[in-house]
Amino acid sequence: MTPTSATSAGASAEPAHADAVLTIEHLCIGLRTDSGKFRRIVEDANFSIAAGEMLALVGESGSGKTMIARSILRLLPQIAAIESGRILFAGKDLDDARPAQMRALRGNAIGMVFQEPMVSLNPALSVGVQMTEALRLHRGLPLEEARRRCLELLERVRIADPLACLKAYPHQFSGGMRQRIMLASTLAMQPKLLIADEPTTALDAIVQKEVMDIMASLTREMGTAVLLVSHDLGMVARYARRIVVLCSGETMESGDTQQVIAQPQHAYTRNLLASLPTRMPRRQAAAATASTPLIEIRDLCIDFNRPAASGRKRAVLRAVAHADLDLLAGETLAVVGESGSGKTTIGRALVRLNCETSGSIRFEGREIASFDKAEMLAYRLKSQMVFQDPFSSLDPRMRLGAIVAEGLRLLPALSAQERRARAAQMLAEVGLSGDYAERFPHELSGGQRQRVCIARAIVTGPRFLVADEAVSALDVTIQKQLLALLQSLQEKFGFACLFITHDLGVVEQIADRVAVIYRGRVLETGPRDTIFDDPRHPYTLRLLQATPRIRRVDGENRISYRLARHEGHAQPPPAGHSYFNHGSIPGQALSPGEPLMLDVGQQHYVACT
Amino acid sequence: MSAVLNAAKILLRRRNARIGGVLIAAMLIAALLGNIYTPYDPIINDLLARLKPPSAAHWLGTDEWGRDVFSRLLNGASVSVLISFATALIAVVVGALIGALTGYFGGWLARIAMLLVDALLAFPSLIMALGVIAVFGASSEGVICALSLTYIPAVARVVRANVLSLREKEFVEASRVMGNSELYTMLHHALPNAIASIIVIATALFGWTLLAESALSFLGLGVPPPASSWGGMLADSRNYVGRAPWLAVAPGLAISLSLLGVNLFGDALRDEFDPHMKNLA
Amino acid sequence: MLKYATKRILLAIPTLLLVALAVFAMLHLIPGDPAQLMLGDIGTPQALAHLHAQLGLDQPLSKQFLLWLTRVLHGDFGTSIVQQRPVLDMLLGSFAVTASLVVPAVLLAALLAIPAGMLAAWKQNTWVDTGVMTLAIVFLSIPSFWLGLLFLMFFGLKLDLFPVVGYVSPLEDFREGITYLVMPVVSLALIETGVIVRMARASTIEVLRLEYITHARAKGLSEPAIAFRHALKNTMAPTWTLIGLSLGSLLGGAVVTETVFTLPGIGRLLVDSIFARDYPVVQGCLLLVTATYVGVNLLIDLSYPLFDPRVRLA
Repeated sequence: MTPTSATSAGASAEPAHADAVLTIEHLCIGLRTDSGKFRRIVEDANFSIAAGEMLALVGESGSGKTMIARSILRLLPQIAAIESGRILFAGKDLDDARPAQMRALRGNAIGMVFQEPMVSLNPALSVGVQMTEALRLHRGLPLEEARRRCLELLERVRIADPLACLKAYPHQFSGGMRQRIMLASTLAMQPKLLIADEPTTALDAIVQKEVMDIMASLTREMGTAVLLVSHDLGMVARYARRIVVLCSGETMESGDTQQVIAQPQHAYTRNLLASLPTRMPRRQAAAATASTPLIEIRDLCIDFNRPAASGRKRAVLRAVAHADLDLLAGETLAVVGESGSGKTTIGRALVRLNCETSGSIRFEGREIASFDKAEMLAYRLKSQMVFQDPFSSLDPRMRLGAIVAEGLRLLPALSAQERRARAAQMLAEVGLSGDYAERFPHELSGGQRQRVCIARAIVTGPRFLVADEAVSALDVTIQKQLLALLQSLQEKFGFACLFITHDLGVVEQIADRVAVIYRGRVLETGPRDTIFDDPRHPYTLRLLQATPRIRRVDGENRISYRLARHEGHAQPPPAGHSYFNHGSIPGQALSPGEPLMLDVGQQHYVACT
Repeated sequence: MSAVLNAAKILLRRRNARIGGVLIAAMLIAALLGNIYTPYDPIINDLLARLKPPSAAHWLGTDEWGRDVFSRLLNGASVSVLISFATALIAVVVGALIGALTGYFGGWLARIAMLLVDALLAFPSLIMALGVIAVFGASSEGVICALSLTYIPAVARVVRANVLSLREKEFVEASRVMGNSELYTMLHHALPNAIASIIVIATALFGWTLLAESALSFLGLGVPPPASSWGGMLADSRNYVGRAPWLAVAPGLAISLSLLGVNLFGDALRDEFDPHMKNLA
Repeated sequence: MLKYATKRILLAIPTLLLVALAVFAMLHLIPGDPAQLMLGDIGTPQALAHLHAQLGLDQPLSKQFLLWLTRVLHGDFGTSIVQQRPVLDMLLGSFAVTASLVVPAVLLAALLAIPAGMLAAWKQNTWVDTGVMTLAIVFLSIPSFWLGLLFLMFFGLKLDLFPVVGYVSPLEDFREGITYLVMPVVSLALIETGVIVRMARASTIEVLRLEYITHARAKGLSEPAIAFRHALKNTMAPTWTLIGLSLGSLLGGAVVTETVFTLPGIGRLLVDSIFARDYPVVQGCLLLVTATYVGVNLLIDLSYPLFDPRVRLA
């Protein structure tokens, strides 16, 4: 194929390779509606995968990518069905396969890895039983031999103690480990084709990279064809050789990954690429002039009583340990960390959904723990929060106008009419003018709901906003609009924002300053550009390296690997010190003692010992 | 009001709700009729008309005292429905209150309350009711007392679980972040969203009490004679199963159809408004 | 696992104490002198004084409770006022009758209901599902005493297949004893079936939605293999709890069935004693049935680790 023909806009069929493992031709999938008719959810999909090749189906929610993947193994939900088209596996039309023949292919010649590692392994059966199942079924291996094969594979996905792993149960492993076990169990069969449906979406960035690296290298070695389904264009660009871009069931564009990304032919692909977060020039934060920070967090510790696992003594979990952070008036401070790092706990403490165990939080120089009832109410009005899940953060029984107006209830001297007017005005401010005030949450899309949440949060005129993964549940195109909205509102109303997220791309786009947090400890804080261009702490470096990005250079999009100039090596720590917890790999024990935040210039602090 | 009508319209799209609704309506009409008009006096004996099989004069025959079975059935309906309704109402109101307060606020008082609730739940339900009746004696009030005390803990448990999960919902947290007081948040956000499941359990409860009331009457520990009750009529029929089988058929069918109506309607309610409660079969 | 078991067992103790307290308090909640209540109008002053001493009514309540509890723990439930026999003897005899009714009934119900429920779930929204669920809700709506009466009329009187009155212990004469139990057991079982089918179906549907079932399909397992290897264990946990609850609550709830078939079970003993105001027997029945109920639930809890390694390995 010449580079020019590699990128073919629209739905024209790719020429089938002679050596194609999987070929899909004119595939249409429909959803049975209540009236008994079919609604198309996949329209004329065409692609093929050769042995040892990785092809990615990319699209936002509702693009039909998962449906295509599941239709290959005939695992569509009951209400969906293939309407027309052909699926050829190793040259044979799967449409002719009887159920028994289909079962003989499943798990044997075609393996599948699922999205949610927490629910895709059976909690009641040991890992060994589940791993050996397919080997014994399809290959008729005796138990001992099947176990040996499994041990071999577990070793290759780098599970520390494979023998113990076989005896253990799924709940004893973290999400990343489970996904590796799943991978090992699927690849133990040496399938010709591996279908991976959002295999790393539920994982943290560093773990995601590990799992993807293992998957890519093992399948390359085995010559397995891989169909990767993902919403994450950046991640896909790094691993897949060819991609198919889908939108609402239709193929927008397909071809060589580098080509599609460098010179997207279809408007949708261009829009998708443009929606990926990019670094914006830094705003002139009003903060620089302020003398005291809006919020000062000093030596903050927050402990939780871990719900006593049956029979065990109550364990105390230190979610946040000796954290120091400042939030300046009007700025956006991004708190970045993986799940369980304690980033959310800090945010919740600021809006008093958690209380601190020790340490202090000061608002405009005053200790908030010492506020009396009236002062606390006043503080509540100045501090607001936007939650992650747009589907559970609005009371389903209330109209939007009432939801937004509710916050004004506590402001004295506002009549009901004034409150309604303010609410309507605020809804218009977030782009929901007209009759939206009279609607109910279930009538809105996820992005619209999140707009309502923002309106509700800023209607009282707060000094700062805690945004907890506020855009993480949304598709990138929607995400982009919301980030833009948030930024314009911030400029207009001047509130500060504590932006909690795991997504470094989003951070790079909107943060003024960044705090990197790991297992309750702040490891590095500093201005955004410094953190992204000159990270000091090895953990920050690893985090940045695990996050792919796409940049526009000379009018072309380039997939770039971050921090190539450091070649993966952190700068040495300041003389006489070593980095606190310098390894910082998931699961590794913490360094003993407490870190020291050393100033390495330009308000850039890094945790050392 | 329009919300209720709307909900009813959605509900009646289900076949179960329609069949259940018709059966419940029939039961309620019978109960109403039993209060205002019966073809014969349900209490006064007519020894000349003993154990007559069904005929044009006595649609469902007569019992061993010559009383019209149909009239007694109507009268029994009003007794059963009244007792079940009162019981369900008391149990739901008290149980929901306990459940909501302990679920939302927690604390040591809640823990003690739940300990008591658990202790009450340790009694099998009919045994509990029998124990209470042993204390209060067999009467309408005794039955209402016994059955509501029996079912309060179950309601409290369900409502508590519901409120506990609502407490963690982000819109409830949002209300607290806004500065609303705990009481306001509970009354305006948590409780209204628990209403659906409370209605579902109230319906189920009505069925349980209907059954339990007839069981108690069947044992002779319900409403004392000569007042008629479906369970009591069944108990009386036992001595005549060979000679007068209609005595056993009519009240049994009445109980079964009423229960079927309540169960079908309750299922439809649950499936429509509270799909998470499915496990509470 | 051991810790889990110990904790569960320890948790049952305060419950049992509160239950004992409630049963003890019962006697004192009745307005009037308990001894006078029991004897009624026929009591002579001597009999009254004797009963007073026997029940320890002249001592402070807390002491009475402790005395009573100590005696109960030693298996001394007092003496029946009506029959002048040790309450314990009466309890054990009738408990055995009830157990021989309830245990087979629940086993039969579970054997019928679990496969039916799973089948209905597997064939969700087909005529099989509709049929099973319709049958279940019909059974659920028939009171067991009415079904018993119908059985009595049809199989007992009309077809003369089974004896309609009386009871012979299967221990004394197995074949004869069984004939007395067939109708009560079947009528009780059918109604329990309705309850268990619904639970088995609901929990199977819940499990079938989970991704590990799709994963098992993607491995090429056949539907029966998925049902038995992957679904059964996970659906059994809630169903198993319900079966335990049924077993426990039927120990008392079977009283209506016992009444229909004139079986001398514990429920019947309780009701008769309530009529006769034989309070020591009433207390004994309440205590025994409730303690058994708590015990059965405890056993169910302790068996939970069989289905769920998350509990086993905690």
